[in-house]
Amino acid sequence: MTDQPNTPTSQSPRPSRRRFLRGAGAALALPWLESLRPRNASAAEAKALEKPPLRAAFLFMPNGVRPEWWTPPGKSEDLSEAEFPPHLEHVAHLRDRFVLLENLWNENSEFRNGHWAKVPVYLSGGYVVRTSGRDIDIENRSVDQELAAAVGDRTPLPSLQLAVDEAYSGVDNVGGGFARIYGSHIAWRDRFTPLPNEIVPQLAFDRLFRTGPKTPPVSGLSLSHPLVQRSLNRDEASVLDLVQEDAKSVAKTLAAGDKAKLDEYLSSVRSVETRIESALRPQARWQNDDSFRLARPDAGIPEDHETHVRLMLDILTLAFWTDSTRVATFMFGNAQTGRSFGFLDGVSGSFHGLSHHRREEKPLDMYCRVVNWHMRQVAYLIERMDGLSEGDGHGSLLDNAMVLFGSTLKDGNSHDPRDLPLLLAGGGQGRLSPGRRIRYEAETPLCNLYLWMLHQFGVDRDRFGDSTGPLDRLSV
Amino acid sequence: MLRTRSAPSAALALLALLGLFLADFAAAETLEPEATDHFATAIRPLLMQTCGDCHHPEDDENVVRFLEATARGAMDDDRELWHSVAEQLRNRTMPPADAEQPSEADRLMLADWIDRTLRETACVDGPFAGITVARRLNRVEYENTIRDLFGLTLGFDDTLPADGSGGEGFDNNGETLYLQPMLFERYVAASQQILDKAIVSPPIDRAFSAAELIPNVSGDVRTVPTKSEAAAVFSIYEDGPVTMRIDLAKPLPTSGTVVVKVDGLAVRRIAAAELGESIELSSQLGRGMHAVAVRAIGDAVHVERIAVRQPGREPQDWEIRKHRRLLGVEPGATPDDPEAAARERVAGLMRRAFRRSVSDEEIERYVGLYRRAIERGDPWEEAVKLAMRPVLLSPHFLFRRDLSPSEEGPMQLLDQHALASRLSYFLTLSPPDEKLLAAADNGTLHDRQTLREHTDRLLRSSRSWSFDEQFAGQWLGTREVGGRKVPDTATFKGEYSAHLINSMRIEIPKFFGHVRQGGRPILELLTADYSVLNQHLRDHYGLTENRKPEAKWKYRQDDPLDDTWHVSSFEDGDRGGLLGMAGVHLLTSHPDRTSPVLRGAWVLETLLGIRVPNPPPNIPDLKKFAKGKPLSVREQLSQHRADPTCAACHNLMDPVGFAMERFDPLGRERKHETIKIKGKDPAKLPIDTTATLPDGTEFDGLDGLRTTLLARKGEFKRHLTRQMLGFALSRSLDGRDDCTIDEIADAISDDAATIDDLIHAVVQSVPFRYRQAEPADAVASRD
Repeated sequence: MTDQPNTPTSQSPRPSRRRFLRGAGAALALPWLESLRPRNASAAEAKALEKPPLRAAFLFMPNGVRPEWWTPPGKSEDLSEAEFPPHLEHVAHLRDRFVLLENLWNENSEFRNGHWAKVPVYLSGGYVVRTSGRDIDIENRSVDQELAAAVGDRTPLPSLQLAVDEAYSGVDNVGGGFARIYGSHIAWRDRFTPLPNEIVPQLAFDRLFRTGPKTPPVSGLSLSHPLVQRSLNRDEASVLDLVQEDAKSVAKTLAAGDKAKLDEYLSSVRSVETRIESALRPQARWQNDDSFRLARPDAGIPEDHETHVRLMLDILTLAFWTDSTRVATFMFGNAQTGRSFGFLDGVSGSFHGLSHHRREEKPLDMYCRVVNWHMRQVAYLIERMDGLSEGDGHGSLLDNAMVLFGSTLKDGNSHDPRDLPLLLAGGGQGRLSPGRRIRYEAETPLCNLYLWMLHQFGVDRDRFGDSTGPLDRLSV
Repeated sequence: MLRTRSAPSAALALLALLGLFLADFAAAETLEPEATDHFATAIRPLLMQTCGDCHHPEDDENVVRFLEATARGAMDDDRELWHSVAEQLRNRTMPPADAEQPSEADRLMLADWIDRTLRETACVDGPFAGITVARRLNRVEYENTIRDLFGLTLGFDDTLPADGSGGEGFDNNGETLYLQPMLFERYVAASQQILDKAIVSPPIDRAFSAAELIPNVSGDVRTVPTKSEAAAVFSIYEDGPVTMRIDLAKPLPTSGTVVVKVDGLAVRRIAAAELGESIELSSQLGRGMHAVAVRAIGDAVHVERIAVRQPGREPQDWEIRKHRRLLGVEPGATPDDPEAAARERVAGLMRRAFRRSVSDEEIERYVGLYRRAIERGDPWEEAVKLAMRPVLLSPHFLFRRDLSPSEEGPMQLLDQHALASRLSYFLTLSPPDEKLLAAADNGTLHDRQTLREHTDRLLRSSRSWSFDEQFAGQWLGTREVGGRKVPDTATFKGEYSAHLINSMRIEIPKFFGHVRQGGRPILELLTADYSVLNQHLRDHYGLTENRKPEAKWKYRQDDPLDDTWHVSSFEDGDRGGLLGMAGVHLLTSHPDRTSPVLRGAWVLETLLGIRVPNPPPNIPDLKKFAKGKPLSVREQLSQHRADPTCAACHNLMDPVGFAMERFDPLGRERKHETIKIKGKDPAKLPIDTTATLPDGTEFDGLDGLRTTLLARKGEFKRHLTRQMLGFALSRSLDGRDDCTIDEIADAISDDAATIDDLIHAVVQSVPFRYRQAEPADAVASRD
């Protein structure tokens, strides 16, 4: 190399492409510096991984589908010859990028409330306790959090939860006395604790970079230099030390219920502390080039719903691309989402309202249009991720990911939880053979898929939820 | 694995549900005196037969052991479990569908008997205080607290993630207020943001002599040889442009390049030939430590001084006021005894933020951070800021906690400061003010008269608006209007504006607050012939010349918001009370049409506390046309009321909703129901607001519905009591709270009773002032 590799010069204004996003992290932590930080400027530099990591995303759509518009007719398991019914038409051009999984379900969602109980079960398979709030319990941590527990410490964010609806409040007594909070969360840190979703694009975006290496770009000063240690930039660590002392000083006098809350507090403080520390001493991360640049979104929530959804999907993609996290969830809506889809041609009403179409022509038609719109957003994400090459021989971001899209109802009108509509996109680094539909035996646990996924991430266990064994036939 | 479950026959279901609601709705039961061994001889045998297969008391594997009770009195051992037995029977969740089912008459009789018995025995054990777990400030409380502490309104009630809610349905419910990492990250960022806004930071204006540059070498001029550098390291406290000037000494280099780096990044390269006596540059820098360095490539360069300066910014008046309020000095000024002043200011904030007195030991730990900043040369106000930051992240600030009881006995009076917080967050959703803190400090708050006076004082303060807004908005569900609940844009294009929808939401707490503050009777919530309106609503309700009922009113989206609210009376028409409010009409409609079902369910559940069961799956189709003619919503619904599986519930819900059919989804009075038909003119169908309840009660329109509700004012007040108590305690209520609820409901049974009467009764109640001792066997955390 003729140029000094790590110092941008006027002769080479454009630094190595691969470095941009590292720089982007820094540029966000230091928004005032409009260009890249030199690579050897601090001890806080990450080593690059040799190959891209495996990522997993879980997408949730409320309110089900029209069954005959989802399941392709015929028996062939080869999607290249399949006839695509109207919902799937919108992803037909991507048929070699996903598998359709048939006959999977969560037994624990049967005979329960039509919606609330069917949301947390999606990724956990657990039995959701009917409660107005005191005994919130879904029996089982969700699979994304199992993955985060396994690989989350390798990235700044263990996992990322995105959505477009605010959490619902209140108790649905009409719906049998379930706290509505159940319907707003698919990601559960443990069986008792849902993880909040980020719904504001700018905040989600900032979160990817918030505790990026905040400092010490001071030439010649290492992190351990007393000046740096004493500086403003290290204040947060001291502040967190102090509040942990506060917490510990009260811990002895606490009643049981309060102690659980304090434990939750302490574990959150520690997680933020860990983020700050690991930002200063980053682990080996995968570094991609700057072919995907996303401007920092404006404050607030975009008026246009499609813009909002796509922005969140972009942020999910960016999070994977920058190796900010390897596990993400996205909710297209909460259970019984009241969002009006009047912005679609020929549609008036909310998704949930329309799902109770009673098979009448007009609402059914509108309902199908809403589902189709969701499928177009799924197509957008698949294309987005597939369009990003992770470098020679490494394939696309999609090749290195597993993206599950699904609903916890098949027929939105009858609230049937069998044979869920599920689409698993991506190559999973060669572990998945897309382009197929796979028909499993009726009432195969969806948790079998999650058990298989856990294995792909190197988690050694025999069971997840109500699994009976890892799902087979995913690769040929 | 695979269970087959036999669906109970539809006809039986009908009977059960019908009976259930008749019983529930017509609450006046005439009770035969009961034999003392009724439980042992009649109830328990039937329960054994129904539930004993799985819940036999002698079965070791059975963990649900309610059948161990052999006498009625033993039910008190686990009232919650018995409530659950009744509810499971009622909701048909037990016995499981694949087990043998009781007859519907027995199912109903058992559930009713259990409920009634639990009610009758509610106060047998005396009052129950309960335990409210430590509850995190929800986002409204957080915003209000920051407002009170710093005089800043920063909109955290909007930008922090929404809090889920549970218990009685409020988002101050401790059990469902989580604190996950993402939220804590937000608090970390917010703590800086708040203090940066509250304290005016001094701009940097500093010259580094050659000797002060890094690496440290003495001398008036620093010689930087080729391939090395010298740096000035400085901190700035506010984001913004920073001007850096490097004064060079002679001789200037004659060959090579001089590179200026900011934070290690080369931002300027100057060939020797182009060098002057100084180099000036400006960068946007963020709060934190930075370095500007000179590097020589080629000839050595000689540096005399590096000056760093932020353009001064005159603080605005409001900034000066906030600064003075928090720190007691003018921006830029340092008190005579800096550390003593810092300690006093930090301690003052801690006391208000932790809502209690703080010990010297605690204060000292915070002042430690002040010293950290002073030792590295931060200006005084920045050092105070650092010490204040953890105050906003401490569990003492973020959580409201009832101090652990130290005495013996089943219940202890709350710690006075915990009581002050409970009262203040209940009625103002904000921290105790100085008077309340002083009362707690002096130990006078346990005096019930003093407590009453403070209650009155808070109820009159402007901060009680938050109470009206949050309590009324969440009890009635109308807080969702304009958020989750909006009209369908396609159906009502141009017929409303965002201001109008927001006004609909705000009308509810404005009206509630008016009834409360005016000392009007509680029942006026239902019967008032007036409301509190702004211009948007006066127009919308047809009270002005701007819009007559039934006229198509085009809303201009750019009309300015009218935020002045006045009492307006309704001289004619159906409108009046909560039932006449557009926010309620919108909340209980589908986005594009009215729903008598939702409206009926809302009235039953929200106003009377009657739980309507889940709709079954596979709801049958409703025909919208008959013989080519369009059917009104009412006519459509009559189809499934003809279906026995649906009729039981809908016979109760639908009539209540029919009475409200005069109002469309936007809450406009209408004479016709308009049905759009493809390719034709819309059909205009007459509205029929007559209604008959399953017990034969007949009424017509809102007026009739109001009268019907007034006949059940006891249930209305009891439910309102339950809601108010749940909101006040921030916890779920259970069977053991029945005693308190009944007592308060009795205390406000007079028609003239006011909302303040209810609030006083809640505040004076046992669970508000006491805390239950932790049962010994529960002193283990959930895991």
